[in-house]
Amino acid sequence: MKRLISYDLPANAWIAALVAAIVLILAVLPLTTPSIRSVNMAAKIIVFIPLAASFILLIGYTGIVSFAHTVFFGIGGYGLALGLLNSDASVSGMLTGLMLGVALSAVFGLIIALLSLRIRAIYFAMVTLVAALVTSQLASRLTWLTGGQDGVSFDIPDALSPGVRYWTVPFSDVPVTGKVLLYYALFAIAALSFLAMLRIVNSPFGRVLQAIRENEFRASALGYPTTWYKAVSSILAAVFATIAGGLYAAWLGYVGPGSTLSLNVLTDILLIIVIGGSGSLYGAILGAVVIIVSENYLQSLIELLIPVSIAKSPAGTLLSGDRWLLWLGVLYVVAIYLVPEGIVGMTRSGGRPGDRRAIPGPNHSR
Amino acid sequence: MSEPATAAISATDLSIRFGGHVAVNNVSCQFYDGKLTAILGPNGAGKTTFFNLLSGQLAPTSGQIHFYGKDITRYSVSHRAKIGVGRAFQLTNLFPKLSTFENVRLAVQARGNLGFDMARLSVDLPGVNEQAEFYLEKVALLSKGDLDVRSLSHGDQRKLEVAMLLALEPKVFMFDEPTAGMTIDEVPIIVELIQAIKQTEGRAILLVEHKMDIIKTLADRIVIFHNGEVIADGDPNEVMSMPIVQDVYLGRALA
Repeated sequence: MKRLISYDLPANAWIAALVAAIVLILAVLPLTTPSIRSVNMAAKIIVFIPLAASFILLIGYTGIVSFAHTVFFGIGGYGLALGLLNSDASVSGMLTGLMLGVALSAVFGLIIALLSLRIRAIYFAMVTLVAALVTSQLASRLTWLTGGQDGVSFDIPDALSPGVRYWTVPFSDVPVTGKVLLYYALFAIAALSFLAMLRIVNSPFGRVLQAIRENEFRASALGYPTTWYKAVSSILAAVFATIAGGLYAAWLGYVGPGSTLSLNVLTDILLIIVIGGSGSLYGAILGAVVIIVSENYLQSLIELLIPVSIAKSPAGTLLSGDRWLLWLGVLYVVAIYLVPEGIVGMTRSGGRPGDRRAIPGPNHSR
Repeated sequence: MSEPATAAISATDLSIRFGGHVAVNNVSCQFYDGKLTAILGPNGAGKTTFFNLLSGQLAPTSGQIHFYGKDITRYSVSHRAKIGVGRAFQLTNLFPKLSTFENVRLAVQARGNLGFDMARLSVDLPGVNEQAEFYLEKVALLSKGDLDVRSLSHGDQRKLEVAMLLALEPKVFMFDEPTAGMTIDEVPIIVELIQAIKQTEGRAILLVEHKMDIIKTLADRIVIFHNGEVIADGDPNEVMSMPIVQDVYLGRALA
């Protein structure tokens, strides 16, 4: 079991327990509830975990701050959609489309990495943001290929469609349809991706990435050609984000600029890693749950907590459920102040004996 | 053989200009296996710039660098490190948020060409972890292996810097003021380590150092830099008694 997670346990027992509970709930959810809303939410969480984890691989481990990550997510979605459309919804067409998407993303990931060598820090971040917006615009305009603003709706292979009924769970009476099967396919692929990334960051390669983030100058002085390491890291992050994009499109039976390429998706990913923490891949799990559950239930929660009489009064408008987005923003700002390194980073800055910065000794020479 | 051995590393007519300022001017110098050369000179004389040229952080305006006869003038920093040009840095230059152990392991796995290995786990690498511990032990830091580097004292960070250079097992060792800022009782361990590299491994060692007692203990040869040029080069006693050296270096240092 410890090998499976590459001996990389969450920093403290509470967080480990939380992660285990989340995984367990995601694993059994569609067998216990017929609620389409909660299963949809769980599926979105499952997709966004590897997506955010791949972003952590890039930003948290390698230190490349790129906002072009939604591009890969989009390529995965469109790849899978176009593969299905052009093959009469066959599994092989789906996989071919996704694989072509992965290849395209790998090339684009390489370009991004090479770009980061030429343009530094904040300018690079801005260039990648523009790349993301341009891609989004392209997807909206190239109607013949992408269906424009409307996106592409497609049929999923029959075995995975909601119409097929395999079995009924005895205790909860929930029917196991093709859609449930699809859910578990998503779960399995997302879990494999996550474990693969966990292995990568704990491999010698992953250590070099961390070294580059900490001190690129020194990493090269140890004999690591840092350019190639950054390139491979960027390609890997792109590939995993593409796979996640394919999963999301498969679940929705639809892909469009709004679901994969828009700024909202980017904001989601950023919120996830800010709340969850970018110091460890587990941040992706905790962050995805907090953000996606809030997006789905914060409005209802506020409506539940605040009596209608208050919410309707002039002074109480801020407390009405319609203002949930505002409160999500407040949550975000509070999180930045209270847990700047995210939930997984919370315990790290705790009471370790040597955590105070060393006082540098005198330096006699220039 | 009677002909002179090939130098481990050598500079030929090496110069670098920054705008109008010539930081290193036409320096030619050979460094041989088994010899420790102390490089001295007042601040701003060009010692560290010379190191930067040898290890590749700076590209020379003119001149060549040879490593066992091979022209490496155009090699990148990482390529030079790979073939055996090893350097410890003057200002502590480590991976601050990684553990002490991890810093050394990164050096060990660099030497083993394991950097692109992503299928295996770091904890499983045969030999690598043992070697990292071995080199930590050498600088008496094994007990602090789990601490983040940023929490180490300045002296311990300097020791770690040396351990990382040792772990690279280079063919040429370049130390840039390894004992700067260390407390008195921390200095001997570094001096002994450098002595051991010289005697048991027979490597070429370049040492920039200001402490005269250390130089007297270790140096086989002294090279004096002044205003980017080599003004004296030879046996320690001879060099230190040269009038020009006394004027330029000791004169100022003792004044």
